[in-house]
Amino acid sequence: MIGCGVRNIMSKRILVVDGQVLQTNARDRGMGRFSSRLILSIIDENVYDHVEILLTKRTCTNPISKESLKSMFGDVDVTYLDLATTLHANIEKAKDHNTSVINGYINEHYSEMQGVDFLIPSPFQEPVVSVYPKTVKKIVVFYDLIPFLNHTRYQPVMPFEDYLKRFYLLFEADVILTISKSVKDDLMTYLGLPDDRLKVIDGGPITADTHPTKPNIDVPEHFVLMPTSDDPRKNNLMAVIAFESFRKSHAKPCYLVVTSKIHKNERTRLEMVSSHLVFTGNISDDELDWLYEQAASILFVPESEGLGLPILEGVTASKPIVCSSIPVFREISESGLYYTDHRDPMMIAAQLEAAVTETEIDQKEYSRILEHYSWRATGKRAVASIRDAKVSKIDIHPRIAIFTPRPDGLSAVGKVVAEGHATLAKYFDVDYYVEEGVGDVSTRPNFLKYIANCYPETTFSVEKYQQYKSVVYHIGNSDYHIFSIANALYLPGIVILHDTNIGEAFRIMEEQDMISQQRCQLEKAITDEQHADTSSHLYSLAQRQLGFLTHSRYAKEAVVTLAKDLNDRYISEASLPTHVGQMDEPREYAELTIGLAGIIADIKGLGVIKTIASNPSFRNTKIHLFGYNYASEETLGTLTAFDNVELTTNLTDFDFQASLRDLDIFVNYRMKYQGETSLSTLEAMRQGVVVIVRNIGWYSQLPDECVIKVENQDEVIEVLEKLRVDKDKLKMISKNAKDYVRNSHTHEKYAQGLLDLINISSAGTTSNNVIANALRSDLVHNVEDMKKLILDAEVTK
Amino acid sequence: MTNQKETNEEHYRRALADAMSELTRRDQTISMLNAKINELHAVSAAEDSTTRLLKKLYNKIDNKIMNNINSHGLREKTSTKIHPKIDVSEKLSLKEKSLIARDYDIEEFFTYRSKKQPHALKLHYRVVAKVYRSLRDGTVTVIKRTNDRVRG
Repeated sequence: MIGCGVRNIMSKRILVVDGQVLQTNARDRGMGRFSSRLILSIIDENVYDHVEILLTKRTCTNPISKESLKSMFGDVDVTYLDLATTLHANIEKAKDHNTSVINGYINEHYSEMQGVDFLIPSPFQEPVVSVYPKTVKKIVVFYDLIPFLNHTRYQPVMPFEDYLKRFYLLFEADVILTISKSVKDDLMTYLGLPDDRLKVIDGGPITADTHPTKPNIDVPEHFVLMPTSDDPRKNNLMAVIAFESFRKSHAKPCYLVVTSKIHKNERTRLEMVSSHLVFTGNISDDELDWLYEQAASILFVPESEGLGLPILEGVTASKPIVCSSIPVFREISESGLYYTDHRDPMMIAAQLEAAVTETEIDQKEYSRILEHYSWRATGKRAVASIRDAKVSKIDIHPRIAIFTPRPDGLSAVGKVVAEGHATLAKYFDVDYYVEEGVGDVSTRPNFLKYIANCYPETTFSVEKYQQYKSVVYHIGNSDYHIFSIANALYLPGIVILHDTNIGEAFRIMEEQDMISQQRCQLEKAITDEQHADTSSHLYSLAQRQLGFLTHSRYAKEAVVTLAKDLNDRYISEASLPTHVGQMDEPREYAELTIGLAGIIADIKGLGVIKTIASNPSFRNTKIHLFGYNYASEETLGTLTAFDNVELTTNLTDFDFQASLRDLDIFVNYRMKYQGETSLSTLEAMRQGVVVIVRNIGWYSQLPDECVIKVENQDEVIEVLEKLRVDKDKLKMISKNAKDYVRNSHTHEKYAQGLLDLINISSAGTTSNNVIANALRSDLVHNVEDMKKLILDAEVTK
Repeated sequence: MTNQKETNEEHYRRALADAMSELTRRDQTISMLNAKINELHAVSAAEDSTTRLLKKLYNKIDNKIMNNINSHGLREKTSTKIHPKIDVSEKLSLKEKSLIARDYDIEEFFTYRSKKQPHALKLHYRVVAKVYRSLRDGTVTVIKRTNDRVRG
């Protein structure tokens, strides 16, 4: 719709920026400063004929005048709209209100034909509630996923649910501009956002336009500069402990200058470790530049970062930099910085000593860094990414219902479903029916409920069934699948089979009083009567579906054995999907770390680990066990008694993936196989970890050149002994594994496989199709109708 | 030859002594740092601000009130579920058993329109809980707004 006030700028490129971040306290901090520089660098590229910045006319935390904005960005239009924030309303109400205001404004002032690029430079900034208008190219800048990944730490100190509620800005975006490859990898790995919508723009150092000025504080002659903040991930305490150790052995008297406003409690804490600290408080850019120029070295050892502006600023000032050895910093330079383990104060101190004493700086490397990480280059990358992004079309997709375990529960299936939503939404209009499980355990933040329709599993019914083209049941062997099984037993749909033995799920149904003991026994008896030694309690489910999606030949054959009436075409096989990041860290295999991850249980190879730990050849090899613990106290006691065994339980997803990445070899020897697939095996392979598996079921199907298959436990030791001295083989398998998962286990292929199966199976002529069609025609209202329908379907068949 | 051997031995002994003293020095540093970390933990634990204490007290009282309402107002379970009966003889064929299982499942699970979950609390307690919550949240909002206004 073209309003009466459409601007006379046809055929020109238009950029509209949600500039509300500049009205908040963040304006003078990292994200605000980054946003300003990015907007400016995009404007400087001169590809837009018209740039408009939208602000709220309501009260915000740090008002800014139109004149200030014009002096910052030059010839731009600044418009104040009635945009609500979380200071005025809850986030849902503010979102609805702002959507209506922004849509009204854009429709009135721009035509759809003009192709407006709409940029949100800081989507998660409280109290701002940003929204996209319709009919524009939606662009968002993303800085880091740190609060999500370290949720246990951040949940209590920030409005966390409001943070998750803003995730729609990522899922609705046509292009997400990330400030590093690591951030892009995180978005792919933990949120499942597709590669083609993520573009890395990096960033540049933020320095003042004016000459460096000495701050109005007593600055010591010889000092190390630590740019930091109050945030716990900044690792301040460890840095100060390391500095103190360095200072004591250092020849010259030295101080640590700590920037930013640090809370008095934190200051007291740090001052207890060292009396050689100088706190600058908040200082201006030119004062910070001065400190960079005068410092002997820069110390920056956070646990995690989105990019690491202090490194770039240190490089600009040509100073030696001691920083954490984390992927995001290694991305900046592999060789030019003094890397250290941020958890080891001795190592930090040693690197600090080296940085301060060795005055030679690799100027060539520093020049290369500054050339890539400049605002000009960032502006160019941003403009190219925006230009190449396609505006998503509003298509009508088939409406489907998916039964899934809660994404924040213990079941890995829920996690895979949440990670697959971004891709699945390209093919389907999905409603999720979420199974809560028996125990109230939350392992990770649940973002799915804020980006998709999620309903309690108990609300599903025949009436609901009629609304969907297809109903998909994720079936596994735990308490997270019991309502899926109950519904799948009388409402034909597509079963995605995660385990061929679902005896435990039936036992829980009985325990929860959902079914009788007799029914449970009957299911076992009729499955066993089929001589199905590869499955248990699966017969009725197999008989009553329109189609099956399995993750292995093993599972497919199990279904084929039971569902004799179901044509092969309706039982398809797809690879369990997972995302592979782009970061490629080289592996040296100097000292091996062997591990066992995922659910730590006696059936999952603990016996093998015990044998390895006690083997003299592996006395100096680190063995790491991590994940959710289901093993007996006795087993754990025996394992942890070994000096070379380390056990970590109940990790966050982020810690789990980081621990997995640190492994060289992952032993996944299943003592008892129940037709399942192993997500942790795939997650290890995607990170280039060499996996040793038992040659059974799904594991046998993995290509020989990507994993090492063994027939028995003794072979595990033999293989490990050979691998220990064969680094070339390790490197080769590592590369193959990564390539294989990247190419074969994609969410895209999985979604297409599901779409094909739904299309083929819904056109079938089985008795289950007759039942499904009658149910959808609203011919069934009660138990008697249903029984009659089944009888008729049998007769028709 | 003997002299050379002695020199080597001397060299190794010195290297060993150096390594030992370095280890001792590191141990001392580590224990010193550990002591400092413990001390810091103790300081941090004692550093409860008045606001945090007030918040704790507020939450404790609030939990007590809500727990009381919930524990007294819960509906009693009226009936236990009766499952459909299954009568399966060993002589029945697989197909017949399968049909019996199917009939059972339909009777057990069939839901045409999902019913709304009945309220967990009895009516009077629900009213009390609602009044309490609106008083509590309303008051907190008013205090917050006043506080914001005062702070400017």
